[in-house]
Amino acid sequence: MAFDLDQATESFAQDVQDLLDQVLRRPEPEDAEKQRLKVLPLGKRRVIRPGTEDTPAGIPVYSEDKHVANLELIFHCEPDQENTFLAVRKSMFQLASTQEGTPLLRLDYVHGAHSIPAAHWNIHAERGATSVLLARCNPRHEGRLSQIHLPVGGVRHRPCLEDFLEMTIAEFNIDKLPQWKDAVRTGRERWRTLQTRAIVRDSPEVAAEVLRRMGYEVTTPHSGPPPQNLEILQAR
Amino acid sequence: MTVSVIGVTRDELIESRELLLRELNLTHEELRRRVKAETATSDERHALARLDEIEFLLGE
Repeated sequence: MAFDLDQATESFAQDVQDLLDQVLRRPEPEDAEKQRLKVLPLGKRRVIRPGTEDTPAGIPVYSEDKHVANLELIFHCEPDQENTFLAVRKSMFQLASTQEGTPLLRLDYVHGAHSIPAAHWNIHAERGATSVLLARCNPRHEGRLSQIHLPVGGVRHRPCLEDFLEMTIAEFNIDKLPQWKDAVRTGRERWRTLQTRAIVRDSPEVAAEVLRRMGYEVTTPHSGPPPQNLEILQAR
Repeated sequence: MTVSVIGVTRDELIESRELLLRELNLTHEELRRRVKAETATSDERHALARLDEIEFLLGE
């Protein structure tokens, strides 16, 4: 069956929307339209995020019914090289307090990043000792903890939105719906299953060897074993 | 909620970017530096996200 980019994008966006709707407890929003995820298509590229047509916006999160922070999320997507599935080229999940403009925590993924880890956390929590050490060891660095990219598992093993949402619930105790745990677990299972497929494609011989040890009969293609995806396996 | 699809054209995106940059009175890179330096407001962070998404959609 031919890959349908619009169908794949809308299906992915709706999965994200359903996750948010099943996890975050929010009063009936006056600005529901702004909180709804938007898909912006142009050519083969797609952007998914809440907001209006012209302005990305955060999704309010509540603690004891008080609006305390905003969850900001963005996905930039396009078809993968083989035009067989939707690939996320960039994602950003961020928590920002309503108290100030600077975000608190950000989980970024940038496909093909070289100078920084593809998947990383930025933590906006400055500390003098960090700045002093950075200034002493790396004068080219801006000297802020928020500019340190904390690596988290590379392209395949990076955390998913479900992990981010569970962190906000477990650590910040934000208002959640009764079924949040099931929604997070189901979504995480879906994410890790998808990533497992990609991981098998990255290392087919390793996957075949593991399956043979488990009793499966696996035959190497006549054309020889496909190569490992060293770019993904070695990238930070 | 059901997600919305908003059709956009190349010309609309270019116009939207020009308008935004005029309102901000900053270049895309100047705005990025403000956000990186943590001196930006939340509106300016959203403006940067908008400029980045336009750049991505236009394939620049």
